Amino acid sequence: MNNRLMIQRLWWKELRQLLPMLILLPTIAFLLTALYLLNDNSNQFNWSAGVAVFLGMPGLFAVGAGALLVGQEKEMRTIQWLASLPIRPQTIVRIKTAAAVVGLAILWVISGLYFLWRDRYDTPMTDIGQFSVWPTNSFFVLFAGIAIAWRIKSALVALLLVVPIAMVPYVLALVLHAMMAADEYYYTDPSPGTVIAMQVIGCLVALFLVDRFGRAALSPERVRLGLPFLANATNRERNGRAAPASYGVIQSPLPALIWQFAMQSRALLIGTSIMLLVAAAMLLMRYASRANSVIPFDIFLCYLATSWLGASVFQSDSAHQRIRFLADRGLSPRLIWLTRQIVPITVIAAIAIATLLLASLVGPAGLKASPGLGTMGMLAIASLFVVFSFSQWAGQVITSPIVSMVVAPLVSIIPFTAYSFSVVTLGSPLGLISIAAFLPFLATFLSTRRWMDRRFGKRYWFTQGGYAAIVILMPTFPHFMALAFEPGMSRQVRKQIETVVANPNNVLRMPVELVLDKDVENERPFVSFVRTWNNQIDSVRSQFRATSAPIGISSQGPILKILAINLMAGMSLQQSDSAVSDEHLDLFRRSMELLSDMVVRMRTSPQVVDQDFADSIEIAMVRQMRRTETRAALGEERYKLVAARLADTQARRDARVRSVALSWYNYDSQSKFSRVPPSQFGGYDLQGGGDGLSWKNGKGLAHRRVARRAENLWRMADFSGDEVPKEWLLEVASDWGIVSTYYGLGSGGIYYRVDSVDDSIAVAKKGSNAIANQWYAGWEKQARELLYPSN
Amino acid sequence: MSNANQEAVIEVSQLTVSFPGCDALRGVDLQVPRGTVFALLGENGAGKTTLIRALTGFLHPNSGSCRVLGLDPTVEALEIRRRVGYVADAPALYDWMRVGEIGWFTSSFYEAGFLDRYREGISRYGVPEDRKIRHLSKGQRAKVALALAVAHDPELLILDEPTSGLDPLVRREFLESMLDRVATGRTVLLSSHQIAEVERVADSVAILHAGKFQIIESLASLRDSVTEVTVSLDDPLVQLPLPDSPAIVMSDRAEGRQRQMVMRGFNSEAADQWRGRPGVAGVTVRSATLDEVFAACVRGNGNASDE
Amino acid sequence: MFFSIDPNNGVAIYEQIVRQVTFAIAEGTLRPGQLLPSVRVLSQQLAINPNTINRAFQQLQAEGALESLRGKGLVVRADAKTGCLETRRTLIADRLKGAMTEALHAGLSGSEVRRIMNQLLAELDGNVATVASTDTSEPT
Repeated sequence: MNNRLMIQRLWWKELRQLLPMLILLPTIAFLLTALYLLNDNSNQFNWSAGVAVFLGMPGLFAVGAGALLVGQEKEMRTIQWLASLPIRPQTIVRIKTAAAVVGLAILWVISGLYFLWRDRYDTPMTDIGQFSVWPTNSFFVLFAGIAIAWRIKSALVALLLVVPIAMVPYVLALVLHAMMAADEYYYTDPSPGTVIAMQVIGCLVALFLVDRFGRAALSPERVRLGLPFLANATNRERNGRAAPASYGVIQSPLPALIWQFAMQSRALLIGTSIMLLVAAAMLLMRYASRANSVIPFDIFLCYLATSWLGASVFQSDSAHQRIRFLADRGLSPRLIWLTRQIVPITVIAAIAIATLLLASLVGPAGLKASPGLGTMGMLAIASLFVVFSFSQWAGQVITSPIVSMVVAPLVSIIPFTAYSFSVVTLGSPLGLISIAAFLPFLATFLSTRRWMDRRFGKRYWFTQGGYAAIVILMPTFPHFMALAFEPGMSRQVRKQIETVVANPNNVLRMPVELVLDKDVENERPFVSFVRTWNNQIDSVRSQFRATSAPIGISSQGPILKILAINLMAGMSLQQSDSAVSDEHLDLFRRSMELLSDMVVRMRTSPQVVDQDFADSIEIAMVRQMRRTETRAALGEERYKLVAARLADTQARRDARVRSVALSWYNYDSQSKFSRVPPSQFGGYDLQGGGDGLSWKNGKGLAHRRVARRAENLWRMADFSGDEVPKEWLLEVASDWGIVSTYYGLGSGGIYYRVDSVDDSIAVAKKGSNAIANQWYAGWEKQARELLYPSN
Repeated sequence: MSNANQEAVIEVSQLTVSFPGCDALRGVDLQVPRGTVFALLGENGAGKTTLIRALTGFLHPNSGSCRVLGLDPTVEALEIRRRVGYVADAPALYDWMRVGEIGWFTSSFYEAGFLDRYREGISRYGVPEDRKIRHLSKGQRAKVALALAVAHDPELLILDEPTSGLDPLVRREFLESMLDRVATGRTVLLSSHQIAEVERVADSVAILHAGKFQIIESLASLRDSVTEVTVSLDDPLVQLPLPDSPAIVMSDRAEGRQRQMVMRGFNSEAADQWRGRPGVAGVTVRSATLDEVFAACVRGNGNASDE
Repeated sequence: MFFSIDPNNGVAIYEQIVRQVTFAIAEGTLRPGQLLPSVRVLSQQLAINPNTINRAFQQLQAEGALESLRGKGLVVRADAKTGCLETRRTLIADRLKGAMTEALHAGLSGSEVRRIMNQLLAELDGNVATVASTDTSEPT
């Protein structure tokens, strides 16, 4: 017998058994990361999701390796056959352990490669020290898991026990640290060094136990009359437990099936319930004390427990083909599906709701539930059920019980990554996402029949693949539908815009913001306002002189202030005090000239918002100019100059056309170079507008939508008729998500779109975003009448 | 007779194994000679598997000793397993391996030549080498297990219920392999319920009941010496004297006016003696089948309606 | 020749082999001088322990039906047929005895039994194919 050959073959067998997991785990991890990379929103978590996935992936393997290598062989009884061969038990134990180490090392290498790659292309990981505890912890978990798997008869119980034991080194480190740092006032985390030291010790202890338990499991039985504490059911039944005939006669299959499921998976149910309760307790403590721990074990426990509960829905019957018993008796798949889901869902719901209620009691605000607890709580519970939904699906699709227990948690992260991508980048509606996230329930419901009959043919896999595709892609449908069918900018308009942009006179030069003196903010008494305001006018003039760029304003405030100067000055003209009159007259003239010049400077701005601000200035000026005092105050020459500018609709048209073209050009070129669609068009914020113009949509769709709106604006800007058609106004209003009253439609419209400056004008709400609502309204005709009174 | 070498391949002496709640073996003795097919019979739960596990070193007995091929299983289990082939009841093989792969894998545990013999066996049984074990039928799986167990040409082959649930053709093949091994001087220990098979191939038979061996004897002499005697009486209350020794009553059942007994060493004189007694209508003597011997050992006395 | 072994019919397996060989010789299926298959081959064919077959062969040798041919195996003796016929006759006589005992035990009278026998003989005699024997004729 060739010893070396034998060891080689054993290695081959162990690694071959680990292969599915070694392939599946990294693949899913990469899939998740790819989804994450599409999603640009990296500010969501403290450390990016990709890091979490690749830290968790070897961890999951460590948790499941014991169950896979030892537990599964025990369940399949192949370990007995292996032990009947002429091979020392130690050899079997050691090679299994060594193979597990190799597997874990491979996964860490893969993770390491990912981190290296990520550091090159993305922000490097800052705190290496903090993360260094993970690898050593994973090795500890690996050894502990294997030791437990040798010791405990039931593979599932062994798997559950690994999770609490995984925390032991960290807890020990905490204790040690607390003892050593007892005199420190502030709570600090134990240093990574301490934690790692504990983990290394843990590894050594676990390795020793692996050897011990493994050898004990494989060596000849020494029959002891020990307590069958952790023995499985068959052992206890040998001693003759009463059959449940004493429960009475059950008439309908529903309660019987529920009883069967509960009894069958009681180890798992109890284990996961404990995990959930512990997690809930930790959460409540954290919530009550507002502390924040670096490693959110409680969330991890919740997530793991929920995922395992989900996987158990179908895995519980898959083991040993137990479902055949029910399938052979012709039970309805609907009933089976229902009774498998009820118990785990009830467990989760009960604990979650209880926690939520308790949280509202123990929260920092006491009995008053803190704001947001309701929504946060609902969101958390919804997330749990999403995890459950995907895990129960994984549990049905993956046939091997141990592999499904290990992979289900990873699978249930997919919806979070995929859907956050959908929402953030593609702007999918939340309703659609909710439906998609719970579609796996439908998928398993429809496949229950085949699962029961164990008919896993090509058709089954195709169907499941189809469900997977629908579940992941469904939220993206609206986006792609829109992308396919919504019109953008017509080629004709695009050419026209390009012509305007190409004109060397139309240089894209961003406006300089006009700044007002602080003094203007405070209303001084009537006596000194003249001086301050004259100073203000001077300051504005100097700003005009300082640059040849267009002038722009970001809010209405400055305009209103300057218009107020003008108005007050104008009103003061009616005062009979002649000494005051001169100053006021001068102020009035100066302010009128300033306003007129300001309009000219603003009209050169490429921003549409500046055109609209200029419109509101001109409207006020027209009103002022129609007053009889104005003509006298300004003098004929000045009056004619100002009136000429006001009457120049053509100039306004040119300015508007140019601004639309340049605004579009600006948006277009910004859009090309950034991953996120630009958030402004022509100075107007796109965030709240219309049906998703902002960054919430994918760049492509946003671009197309803004293009169409730009085209509508262009059409209106280039209008040269008498009255803008109502449909155009309506369309612009709906384009930008603005109430049509602002565009003069409907009752009250006349207060917003100025057809006659004599009408009382409603003060527009701050930030109304009513783009282009004054274009070619009646006031322009009145402006022309200033110069040509006959019209 | 053929086998000159009568040295015992298996020697068991006062072996006792107790589990919580039951005593599986209560001090049994056994000698299995070389070159024979030795059958172990017993009801389910009689202790056959326990005995086999003790012999292969999977179990440490509470007291007593056993030696397999001269070695002590509690000490040299590994060496025993190298020289013994063992097919368990419903053997669990790695069902993800292919037929060829598991042979290749197992060959590394034994000397050279294993793989060739294994492949030869597999092709003789007609099992496709490239199919995964999980896709094999029950019979094919049993054949693979058997092929694995004999490929290293063990001196002793232990079969624990090898043919339960298999079709007659497969069972036949198993019997042939057993005989094959014996023809070359090897030994086979067979634990089975298939009495018909045991009758065909066994040299010696040991019947285990309630943790003790009721019978350990060569099949030929057993068949020769055990008879089934049916006595018709005029009246159920008629008593019969116990037959003179060396006749032993193994089982005794009464139904109506008839009594049926399985007896050992019941000769024609004893039969005539009974015929002459008053109240005895008739005595029929028949050679007992192994089935009936087994039932007699296990059931003992009682009314027919007790079963 | 074909053997048909039934382990369950109460007759020991070796005895069944002995009888079947004897009958075959008596019928002429096995000719004098014909070689019988070896113990090994027969054991394989029938899936029966070679010791059992050995015992049967030993008994057949003792009864003078077979003899050992050096280097070849066991052959049918030239004068085996008579002995086998005789054995067969004995066995058949036993069977007839058993049938008649049963008939008398059942309450049929001797004349009734005789009547049935004559009736049967009238029906069957001359209509049953006999063994085609070239040498000795069967004494009636």
